[in-house]
Amino acid sequence: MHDKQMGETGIYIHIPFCLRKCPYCDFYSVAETQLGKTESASLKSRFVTALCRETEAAGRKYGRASRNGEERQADTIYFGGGTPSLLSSDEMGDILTAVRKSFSVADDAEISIECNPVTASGEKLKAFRELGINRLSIGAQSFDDNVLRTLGRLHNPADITRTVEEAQKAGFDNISLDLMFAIPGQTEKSWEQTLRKALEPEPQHISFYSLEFMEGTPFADRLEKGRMRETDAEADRRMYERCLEILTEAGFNQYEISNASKGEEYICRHNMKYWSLEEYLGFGPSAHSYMIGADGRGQRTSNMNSLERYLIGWEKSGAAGESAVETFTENSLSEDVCEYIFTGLRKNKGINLRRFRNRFGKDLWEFYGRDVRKEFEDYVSAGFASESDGNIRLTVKGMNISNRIMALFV
Amino acid sequence: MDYQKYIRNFSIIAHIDHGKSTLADRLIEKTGLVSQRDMKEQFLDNMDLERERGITIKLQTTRLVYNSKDGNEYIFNLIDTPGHVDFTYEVSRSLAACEGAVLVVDATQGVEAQTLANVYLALDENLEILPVLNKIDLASARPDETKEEIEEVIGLDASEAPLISAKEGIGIEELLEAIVKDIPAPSGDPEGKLKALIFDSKYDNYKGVIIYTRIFDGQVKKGDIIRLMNTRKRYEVTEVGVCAPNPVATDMLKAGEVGYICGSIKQVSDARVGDTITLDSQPTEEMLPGYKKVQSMVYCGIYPAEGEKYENVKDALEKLQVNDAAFNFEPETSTALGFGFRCGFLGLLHMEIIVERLEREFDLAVITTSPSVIYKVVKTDGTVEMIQNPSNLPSPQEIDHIEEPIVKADIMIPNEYVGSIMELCQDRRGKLLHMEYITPARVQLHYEMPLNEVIYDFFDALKSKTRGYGSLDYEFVRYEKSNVVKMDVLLNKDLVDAFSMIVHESKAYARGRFVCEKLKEIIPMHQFEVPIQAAIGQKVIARETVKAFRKDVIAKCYGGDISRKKKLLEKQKEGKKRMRQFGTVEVPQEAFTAVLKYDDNK
Repeated sequence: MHDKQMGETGIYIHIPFCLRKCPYCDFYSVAETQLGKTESASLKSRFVTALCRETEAAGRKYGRASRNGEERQADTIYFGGGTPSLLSSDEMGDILTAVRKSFSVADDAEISIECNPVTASGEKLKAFRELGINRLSIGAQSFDDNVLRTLGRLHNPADITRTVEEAQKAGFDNISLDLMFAIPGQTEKSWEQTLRKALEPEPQHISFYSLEFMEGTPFADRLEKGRMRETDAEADRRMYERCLEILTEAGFNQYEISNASKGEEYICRHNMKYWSLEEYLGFGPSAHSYMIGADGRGQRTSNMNSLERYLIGWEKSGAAGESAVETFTENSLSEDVCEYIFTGLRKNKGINLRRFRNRFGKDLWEFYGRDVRKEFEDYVSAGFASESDGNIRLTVKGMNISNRIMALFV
Repeated sequence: MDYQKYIRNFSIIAHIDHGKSTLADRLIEKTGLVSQRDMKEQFLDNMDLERERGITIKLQTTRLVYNSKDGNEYIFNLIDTPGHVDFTYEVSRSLAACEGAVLVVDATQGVEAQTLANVYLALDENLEILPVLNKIDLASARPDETKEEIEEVIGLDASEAPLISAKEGIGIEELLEAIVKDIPAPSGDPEGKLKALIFDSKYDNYKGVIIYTRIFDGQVKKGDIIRLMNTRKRYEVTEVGVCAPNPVATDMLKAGEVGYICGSIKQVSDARVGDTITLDSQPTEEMLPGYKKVQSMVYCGIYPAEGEKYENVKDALEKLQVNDAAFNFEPETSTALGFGFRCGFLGLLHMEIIVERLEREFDLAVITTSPSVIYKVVKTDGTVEMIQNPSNLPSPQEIDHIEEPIVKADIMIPNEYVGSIMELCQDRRGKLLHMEYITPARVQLHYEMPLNEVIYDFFDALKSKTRGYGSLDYEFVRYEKSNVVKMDVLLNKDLVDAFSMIVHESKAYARGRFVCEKLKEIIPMHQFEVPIQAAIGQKVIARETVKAFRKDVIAKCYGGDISRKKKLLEKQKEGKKRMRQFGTVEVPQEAFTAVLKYDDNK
């Protein structure tokens, strides 16, 4: 069909609705508890309309309607949020229709959706599966009631298990659970139990996040006021290392600082794009895009963290969405290199030096002084990093202090 | 010779903070030389640093024209003097240029340690001393008691002392009249052979070194060939003039006058304070007394901080030296800090001022090492070495014994602090010579103390323990055999020579613990454990450990996070730039000064 190989892009779609804001989360969303039921329904439908417009506009630039060989095929689609599972299957269907209308979607595309335990009934999950969504990421966080309460989550452990079972019944065979550790009040024992419970229904993928106190969140505020205490680094890392042990025993392979899957086929291909500096388009409020320009340099675009501005930007027919854009920046070569390295070092595979050279035209070390190389080699000899098979990578020990090593390259 | 009848050469002497600079401001203002509008606070203190700290470091001289009530016009040469214990020699030279001194005493605080020290200096120069009570406007002023103190303690008649407030401008007229009446006019021979005293010098980019001088006999004018008698240097005079206070060229300077001389002199060290100027063609037979080469009492290393150029530091030190005859330096190297300079100072304050000037005026980032005094090391082979850099100390086998400088310290304090200050002095190995009650409420303690103990933080401790009321004056008396040892600091087993210091054996353990604790607070966590050790020779006397750094990781990094995370990493890198690398250990620059600071909790 195409006379030359078509580029590929990931598509991220941000669904900015939650039942309620979790006090540790700084992703952009609007809490339904603060809206009336009718208002919430109408906002969602307005949002879906605007989102379809943004998708179509992107399609004219990068999709089916693009010119000059600019067309990209979508090989991953990711619904994140917020809580995407709050949308009805009809609304989800409208969005996917718009995506398919605007972009050619690969036959084997990975289509993921994030979902929270109490928001997804078996019926809805089934409908999602029928829409072609083939990967489910469940915000489980913990199997400990106390921890879930600290985190301000609305579900209990039984809800998680039920959701996983229903998802499996609905035909999902690529299920991921998000788990969190180093939460104030969480014991190492509780963390271990959470891991074991999470493994029981045999998910294919686990994400395991050390709690971060993000600026502007109620958690950060509590920390500052001394009403909450950060888990000490030693305990935090013990939980992290224990987690890796348990996952390995259960047949998982870690492939990124906070992610592991049961074999390569369950690695999240969409997220891998972020760590390989590959292209992705982001739609919806607060979504970011990274596209490579004609000059080979990366271009980052971000939408504003505002549903209101987003609706103003895209609701009217013919609108171009300018007022919803927050930033547009063009990377320099050295910025691309730096981002490639620090995101690449998040992966267990690390950075392939040959692939690096193909992409940037020079050896990695040519971009840095001798002292940087020397410092990196010191990390290698101290067991924090390794260099073999033409790859450089961090060891688990190195991941624990990865910021320091990555900072060498900025 | 009549002109000398209308000249008055005088200084103002006072304890620090007793209002000397403010008084100088008022005198300048009242004599109409400077308009009210141009008047800056503390006119004579022209360095920012001086203004900020409220103390005078470099003296400055100015000429005032005063129309007296007797109908005559008088020339006042006011020679400002530095008010700190470190600058005694400079004070003594400017006093030597005068016939009289105005002694300012705070009417609330009364006589203090430096008041006395300065009075003795003035008496040594046979000056007429005119006591003045300042800050008379304050409710707490107690002029009668203060007068009594002056009479009892100093032995001066204070009954006629003008009562003034320099701040409020009270009593200034009376003081000006008293200067005319009480301070003698100079009486040199303008036709004699030139004999002039250098009491200050500074470097000027256009004129070269400007010599501030008092002419005792003879005269000097442009074109004369002058000879500096101690340094034996000869120069042709390119300009003479008076300080108003900016230089104003005149035809000549003659006996009794105060002014400046320029002669394309390249370095301040060629025109040393205290030297005698004479004419090369008709030299005077006798030099003026009192010349001495200034002896540095305290030494430390100054090194360019990470990212700072050696040459920049060198240039700045040269410029400072050109303006400060009491400061000297020479190149040295440290294994830890690389190329730098060994610098000599009059005292710890002098050192702090130089370092601050490097940072502020020259915008340089420097690292200073622990200050040291000069030790006299007598070796087993009978030779003697003077050592001021701990790293140069010979090995213990070669040393027969070490002698350290002892000073006589005069400490004046309100009597309620006697107990705590005696304790402090004892802790600093002080020997009480005697104590006396100046008044029922004020005590002077006379101690002999190793200079080594004074230079670290004694003055800070004294101020802190007396709520600022304690005052100190000290002078070198002799070298004395002492049990001092070299204490090293090891970071991750590597000796960092810049932290080495010479301490008394009895203090080594406490000092070692203190240094290790301080460093533990300051050195950031590394990816490995960092042992911090203080050691004497092979023997470790104190140890702390900075725990290994366990976690520095971003848990979540997805599409929207990358720009933000990059900023975070950039910030981290910036922080690292401000560190100094020693072997495998990164040490923040402030570590070097932090181990020297007085700690109240100690």
